Amino acid sequence: MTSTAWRAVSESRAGRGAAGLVILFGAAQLALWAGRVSPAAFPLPTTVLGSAAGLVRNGAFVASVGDTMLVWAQAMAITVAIAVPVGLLLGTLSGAERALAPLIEFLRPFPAVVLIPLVLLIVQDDTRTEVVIVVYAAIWPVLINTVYGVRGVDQLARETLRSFGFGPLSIARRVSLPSAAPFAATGVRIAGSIAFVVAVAAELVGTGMNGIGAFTASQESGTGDMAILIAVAVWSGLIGLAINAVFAGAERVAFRWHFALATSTRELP
Amino acid sequence: MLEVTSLTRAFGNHLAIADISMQVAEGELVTIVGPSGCGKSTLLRCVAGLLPPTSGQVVLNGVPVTRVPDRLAVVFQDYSRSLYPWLSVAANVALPLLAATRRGSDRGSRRGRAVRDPAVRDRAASQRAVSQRAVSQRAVSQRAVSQRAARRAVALAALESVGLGGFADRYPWQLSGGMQQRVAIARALACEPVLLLMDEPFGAVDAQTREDLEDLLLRVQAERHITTLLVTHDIDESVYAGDRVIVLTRGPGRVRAEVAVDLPAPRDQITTKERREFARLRAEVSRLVRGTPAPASAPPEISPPEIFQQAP
Ligand SMILES: Nc1ncnc2c1ncn2[C@@H]1O[C@H](COP(=O)(O)OP(=O)(O)O)[C@@H](O)[C@H]1O
Ligand SMILES: [Mg+2]
Repeated sequence: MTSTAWRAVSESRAGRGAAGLVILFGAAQLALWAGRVSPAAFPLPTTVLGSAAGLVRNGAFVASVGDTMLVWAQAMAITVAIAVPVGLLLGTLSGAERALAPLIEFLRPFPAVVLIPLVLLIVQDDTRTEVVIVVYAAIWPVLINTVYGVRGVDQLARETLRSFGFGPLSIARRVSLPSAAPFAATGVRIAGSIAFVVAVAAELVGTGMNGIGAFTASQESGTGDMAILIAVAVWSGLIGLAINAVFAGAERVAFRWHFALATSTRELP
Repeated sequence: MLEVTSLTRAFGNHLAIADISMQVAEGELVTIVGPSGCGKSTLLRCVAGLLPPTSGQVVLNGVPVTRVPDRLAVVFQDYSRSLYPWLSVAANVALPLLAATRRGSDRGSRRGRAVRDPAVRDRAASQRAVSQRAVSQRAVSQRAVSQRAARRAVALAALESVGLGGFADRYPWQLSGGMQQRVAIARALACEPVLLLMDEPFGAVDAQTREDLEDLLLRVQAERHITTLLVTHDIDESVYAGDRVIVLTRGPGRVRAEVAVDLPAPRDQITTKERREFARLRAEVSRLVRGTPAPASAPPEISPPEIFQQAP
């Protein structure tokens, strides 16, 4: 590789991440070959790669990814539909936010998975329970970021619109909503990653659920093939990365003005 | 045209402006000058109907101002905060026009509600109301397209008049500070205001740009005879731009004096400012702002502008 190509790779974040993975992969492979770690206790990275490739042709695994992503999509839709309007409301009515803040701080740190038995009792359906659990985990970043975004709406920006004869509702729609939107979107991106992780975790713990977590649990008790378990983890990680990348890309496109402003202020002396 | 009577505004126990009275005639450009914190912005916000006065009143064309009056335009100092970064330059300029049309359609929907209420009691009537609404909605959506085109045309003309014809589809953050403030001025002009209020509009740009913007303001103000109230803390600007200067005292702001400016129009950054009369007015306003009494003897006669003036 030429030195300029090296510099291009080492300067891009993705390039650096990929380099780190290659180094880790190589080190693990070498350690196992050198016999420092018993191959029985830990599969060779090349074996894991083979299993990962094999999973693509494994119908049960592909279906499980579909199940998880379906729950994920439903949960994200519900999360946005609840958290964004509530966040806008709480951000606008400062009294309401102050009244609810302690409750939110109390509810937020609950590990969502702990609630599975309770929700199952109430909802009586495994998939719907999973959706509820995922929504519970994903709702907080969207809610809090939206409130934060509305809070940050510039007073002068509102006053300008008011001076042109706009009423409070028009101001909310034309100033508060657009200027809070990039913050809400950041919340949605964070929620997207959380929702995926929590969905898989719920499937691992919950008994009657489908999806990647359930597939993992079945592999564990069935073949006990560690290479496949790691391969599933690798795929899960890649899906999580992809979710984040898609949201981050959409944010950059939709809120170009927001990032342009952020950069220009940073460049000021 | 604009009449301010005994206007007082307090924030809690803190008096921001006290007992301010003034009058502005149709088409006049009055500048208000005073030290920082003396209540200039508070005065302007009361005149704009953005802030209710504690006592006293503002009357615009015979109507007491209790809310934001129609066809008012305000230009603030901080263009980066009063322009909307998610809207293109043209969309920013067209925005106030939307308020005007919206007011019309709000009235329409209120009428619609009046139709709906009795209809709840009568099923047949309610069905008739629904079909009527569907027809009128189709007409409204066709009208919306042509209205949007009309708003854009007005915005483009306003941008043209401030020398930004080619920048309609840029975004504010892609422009320099001076250009952004031109956009804000274009936006104010687009709604054909009867009253233009400017709160230190040129305070955040460099000296050269500031002079250009002052001249731009004087040109469009003269062309359109817009009654204008310009707040500034810059004494030169208050004299250069004003038909009349109102000097406020240190906070709580009161009217210390009014100074008539009879410098000939059109004004020019160089020739107007080298006039002896300009120097005299500037010194007078300066003393009033500082609160130092005029010297008993005549002011020193040798000042640089005068020397320039003696040259042919
Ligand atoms: N919203 C407000 N709440 C409390 N005090 C205010 C508010 N706005 C202005 N003031 C006070 O009123 C005084 C005049 O302020 P302002 O009108 O902004 O002055 P200027 O524009 O001349 O610099 C200042 O002492 C300021 O602290
Ligand atoms: Mg001010």
